[in-house]
Amino acid sequence: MLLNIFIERAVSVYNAVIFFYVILISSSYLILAIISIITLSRYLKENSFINYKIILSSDMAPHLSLIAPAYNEGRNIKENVHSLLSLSYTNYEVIVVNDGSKDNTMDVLIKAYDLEEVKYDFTEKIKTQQVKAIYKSNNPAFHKLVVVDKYNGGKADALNVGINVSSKAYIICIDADCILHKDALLILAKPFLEKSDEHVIATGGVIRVANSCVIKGGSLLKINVPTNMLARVQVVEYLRAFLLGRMAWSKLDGLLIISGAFGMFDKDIAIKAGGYDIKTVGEDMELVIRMRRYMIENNLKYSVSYIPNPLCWTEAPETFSILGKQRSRWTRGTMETLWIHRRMFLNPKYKILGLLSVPYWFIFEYLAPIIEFTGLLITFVFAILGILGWSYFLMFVLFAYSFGIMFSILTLLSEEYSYHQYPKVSDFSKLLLAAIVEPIYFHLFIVYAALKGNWEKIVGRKGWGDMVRTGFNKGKQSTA
Amino acid sequence: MKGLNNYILAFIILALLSSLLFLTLLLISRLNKIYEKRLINRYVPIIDKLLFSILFNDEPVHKVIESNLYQSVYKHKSFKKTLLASIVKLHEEYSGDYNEKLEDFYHQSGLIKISFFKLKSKAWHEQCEGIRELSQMNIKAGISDIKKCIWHNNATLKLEALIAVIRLQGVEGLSVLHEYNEQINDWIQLNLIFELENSNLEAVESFSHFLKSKNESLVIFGLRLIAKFNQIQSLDQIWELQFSNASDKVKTEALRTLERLPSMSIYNRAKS
Repeated sequence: MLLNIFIERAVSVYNAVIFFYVILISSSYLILAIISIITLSRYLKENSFINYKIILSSDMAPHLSLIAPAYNEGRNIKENVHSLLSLSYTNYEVIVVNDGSKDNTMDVLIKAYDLEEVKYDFTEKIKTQQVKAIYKSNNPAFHKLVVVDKYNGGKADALNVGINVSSKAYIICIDADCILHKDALLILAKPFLEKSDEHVIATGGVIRVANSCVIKGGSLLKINVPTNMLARVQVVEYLRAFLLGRMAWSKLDGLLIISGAFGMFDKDIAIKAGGYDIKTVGEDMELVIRMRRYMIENNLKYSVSYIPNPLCWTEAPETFSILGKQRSRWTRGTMETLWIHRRMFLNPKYKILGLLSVPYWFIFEYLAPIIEFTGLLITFVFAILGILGWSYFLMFVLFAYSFGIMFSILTLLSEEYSYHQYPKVSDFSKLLLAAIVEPIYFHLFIVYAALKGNWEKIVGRKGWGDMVRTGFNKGKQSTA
Repeated sequence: MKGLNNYILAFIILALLSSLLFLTLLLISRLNKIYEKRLINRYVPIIDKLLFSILFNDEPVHKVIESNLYQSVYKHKSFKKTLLASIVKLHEEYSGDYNEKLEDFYHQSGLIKISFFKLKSKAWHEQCEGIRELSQMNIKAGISDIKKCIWHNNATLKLEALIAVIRLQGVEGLSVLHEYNEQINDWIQLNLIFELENSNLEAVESFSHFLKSKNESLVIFGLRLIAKFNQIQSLDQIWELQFSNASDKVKTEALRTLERLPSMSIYNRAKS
């Protein structure tokens, strides 16, 4: 009898806790979405009066070094570098860092850009793996290009080499396989001019999914919704994260992450903060937090900006196997970064970062899949023990599903009102379908991948794992 | 448990209703965009025909306005919007007689009233639109209202007003900055310098008066203008800045200005 009362109480408490957590997480998403929509709307209005082209002709524009680490990118490197060299900007250089590729990346670059080994003086401000050689082109048309060949040390190490070699005041770190909008640098540089009275240490950009888009000569010619369902669902996911998430964090001055695929940093501060951490696979998030910590701990006034324009397009995984590896790595990166900066957790010294951003990331980003899995496990045990309230359980699942769909439709609505990148009715219908199937088809797998990431971290797995790229507009290919 | 069930049910209904609402808004927006695109496709050839007859066939403006073609569409809001945008764009691309004809049409068609109406709006982005249209169309009558916007809280409106004042008054327009006590960031400076460069200035007065400003950003702006317009007559004042109590930022910019000015003049100054 007493045991029955205890079990009943325990079940009630469990239900209430889970209910409270779900309401809290859903409310936080909605609040962030509302802040994002208001900020985005204002940004779009302001943006409609801006003439970015005036930056082109000005010597006041920040001088930039575009750093693109490349590892086994032989198949795409030629056109990707071509794309980087054709951007609308005057004061910039492109530094391609070949991170000890095992394929023909270096040969392709030497041949395509008529490279020659040169004596290139630079100071090793950040300790890195040894540089084998530095190349410049004999062709004056490619004078902006610097190619660094180094021993393998991982992406963070390659980026650090790029920072060491860079001769400009600002660095833009991008993935070599990304396609940038022609005016991307102009748009990214504006906040650095606009806030000349305070120190802008970083600007983050939006990443969009390029699968099935028409890309020629390294330029995006036509935007299509991916034919592959997994990539299509990620379109909705990316839109949700970048348009309705990061925009709000930026407004709240609590942005913790600038995607490794596309971000601009003040080189001096990045070096003072110690450069990219080679011990973590979440080096992008880690650097942003460390730079912000550096500014706060040294009482320096600063800001971090965020640009919602669709400037950078990348290839999303099209198979569960690759997606799993990517998401597992993201989880490990989050764990490592949160652990490195655990001092910030609820620490008022770090203002909104310590009091809101870091706790939010821990509770709603890192813990969410673990709590979800635990909930499912306990529900399963309850079902076996015959104490599961089926109506409550089904209602709960229905709520999670309907909220997920509602939020995704809100995301599509935001995209419709803002950048309207998918004007075809058929594309829009495909995205709507993706939003409807996402909670079943995609979300459960993401929870599994996050748990796998936790497990891999516990057992001490390091590194990025093998990645397979299809390549833009190309047949299947394999690179390690 | 039953209480929780009721709450969850309420949330489900709310989520479903919100989904329906967002979906409806999405469809309305999509249909609106399609409709607007169709309207523009319909209006663009009409606008091209009307403006072509004014610009290249020397058709009197009042005749074009009285024409059946114009009368059949001019009341439509989308037509006016597209026509206004076309005129402003053409005015930016052309000059001389063509621009005078466009300005005449802008007046006689009443489109100017729309721009003034926008300028007086309470929404900052509409004010920006009005300012841009009036300044592009070289309407000096609005200058006093535009100048008021320089003190507005909204940074975009402030910048648009500053650009318009320079567009309409040239270098003389820079005098509004003398009373300016706010920071003029690099972005504003870049826009103003760009506007001045494109103003076809004949004789540019010395910008050295900015170097005496207590507003540090104005001093830097002055230095940049001096460098841009090669005003070697300001060399003495720039040198003085090097030995004054000015901030490091100002001194660095002064040094950069000296580097940019023609080398011979600096050499002579150093020699003396």
